Amino acid sequence: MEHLITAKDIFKIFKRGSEEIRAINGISLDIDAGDIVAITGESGSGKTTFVNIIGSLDNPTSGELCINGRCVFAPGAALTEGELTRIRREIFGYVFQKFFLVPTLTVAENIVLPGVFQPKLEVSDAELDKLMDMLGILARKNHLPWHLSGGEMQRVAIARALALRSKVLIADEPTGNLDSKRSEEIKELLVRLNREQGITIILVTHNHNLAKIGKRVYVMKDGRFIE
Amino acid sequence: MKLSIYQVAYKNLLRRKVRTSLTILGIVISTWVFVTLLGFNHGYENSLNENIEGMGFQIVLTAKGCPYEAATLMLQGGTGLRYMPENLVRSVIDKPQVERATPMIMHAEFDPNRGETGGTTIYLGIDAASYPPMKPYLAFSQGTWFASDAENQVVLGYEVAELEQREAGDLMLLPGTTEEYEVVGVLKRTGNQDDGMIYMPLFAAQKTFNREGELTMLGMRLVPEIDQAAFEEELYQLPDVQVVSMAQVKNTIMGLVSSAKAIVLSVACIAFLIAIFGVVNTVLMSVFERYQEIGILKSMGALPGDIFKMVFIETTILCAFGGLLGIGFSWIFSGMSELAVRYFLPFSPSGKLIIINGSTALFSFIAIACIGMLGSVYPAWRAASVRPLESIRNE
Repeated sequence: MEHLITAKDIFKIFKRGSEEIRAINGISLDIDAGDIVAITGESGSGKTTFVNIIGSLDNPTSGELCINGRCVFAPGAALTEGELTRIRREIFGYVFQKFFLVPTLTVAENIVLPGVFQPKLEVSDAELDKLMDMLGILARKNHLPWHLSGGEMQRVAIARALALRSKVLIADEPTGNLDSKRSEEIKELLVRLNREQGITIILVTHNHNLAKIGKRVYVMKDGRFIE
Repeated sequence: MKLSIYQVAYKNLLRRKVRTSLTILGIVISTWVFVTLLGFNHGYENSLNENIEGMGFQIVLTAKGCPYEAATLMLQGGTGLRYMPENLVRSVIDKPQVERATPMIMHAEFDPNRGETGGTTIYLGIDAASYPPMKPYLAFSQGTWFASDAENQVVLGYEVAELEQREAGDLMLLPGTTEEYEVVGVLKRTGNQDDGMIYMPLFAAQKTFNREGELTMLGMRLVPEIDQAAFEEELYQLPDVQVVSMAQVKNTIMGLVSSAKAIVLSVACIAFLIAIFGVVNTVLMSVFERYQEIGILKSMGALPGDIFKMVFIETTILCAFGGLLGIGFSWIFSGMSELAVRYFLPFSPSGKLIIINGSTALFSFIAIACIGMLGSVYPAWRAASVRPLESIRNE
């Protein structure tokens, strides 16, 4: 059976002067549709770098990455930025450690923003209200981001990623700025999205409680999986 | 809920309101200058043509002298007038090429009591039989022309009557004269040099200003289909006269103002360029400020073309808004601009000097929009080239 994502012997090497830093040191990983893969590890262990490569945001130095049956990075098979964008818009939704909300757009507008570039993603008012209600930000619908707390901003970022209706949700510390109650809600939400809608989730987190939702949990250190 | 790229672009411009406003102000000013210049170009020529048409003559014979002075004399009277013998002129009137002719004598008198700083009163001695048919558009609001042999009678142009507060039947002491004159008629407004004249019978003017047997000019209409150039050449054989055709007058005056127009055009072009550089600078700064945000948009599926379009729209909104305001201001303040132009120009014809019509406005709007769009290409390309991860990593 073909995997949704296949990463083979991925290396990411940064050079700082004569020094060579191996951020990712030969990782191989297969992810199937419907998986929840949690990656944990200390800061600087290479978690974010690795999910950025898997999510077609970054190039590996070497290795092979195939997504949805298409080799994105392989010797002689490098795709253009436009082609990578098409893969990203078809496959991935992202939640980052930082919120990256557009300050001049309201909460609701930020959530439907992906629809500007992908018309098929149009979100109805009812769907939008339901999504915002689920994340506890409905009352903030018409507020600008600078009126929100950090936790609320992260929930808006999650809502925006969910509005993309992606096959794979890459969540880099999605609960990093949420209180425990909201973290639990997000955790349940991710599980429900996976179970009911079959969304594949790749989770990077320091939160061991959140990492438990992973069907597979990897621990990274020095650019490798150690567990 | 539907959000369009136009809304996103518009809201991006609100991010830095002061910067956006200053950029728009730059576009407004340059468009204002540009539209006013175009309006002046059109209006000046139009007014000049109307003034020349309003003279009713095809050719004017004057005493030999400076052609610029002659041109000014034709249109608004002048000082330092030259005179030619009347008998010489009479011989021209009888030529077969001349359909109609009217002799005139002009006299300018400085009146220290006119206005706050004084002013010049211009008298035109005319032949009441031959002059009115040459200017059929002249109409009276009161009274009528004087008889050819009348003494101490005048007809006032509209502006003179307004300024002097005189009506038909009034007596008035004219500057430079010692006797009272009866106002026998007041002309309706013409919008040209006729409004500022005091008309007297020819012989009376010659007598009053001690110019008996002399004329300032002879206005002529020629028989149709004659060779005008050949006739002008023939007239040049007469001693001490010069022939001024209306086309020459127009060319002379247009030559006088062309340098002024070239300078203003240069200023307008520079203003335009500065405004465009301002737009490029503003949009480029905005792109650099939103480096991460653009990266996130690309991670959400925005293609380089989408980002290019967004920045392109932002620039177009700036230019279109500034351009429309500039056109609006140039139209609203065209009267003020006209006063300034009249103040600085050596000669300006009567009538509307700055005409801003629909085609001028449309051309200017298209010009500013096109140049703005051209200026948006580089910032839009820079924005479209942002790589999502690099922008996120910059955090």
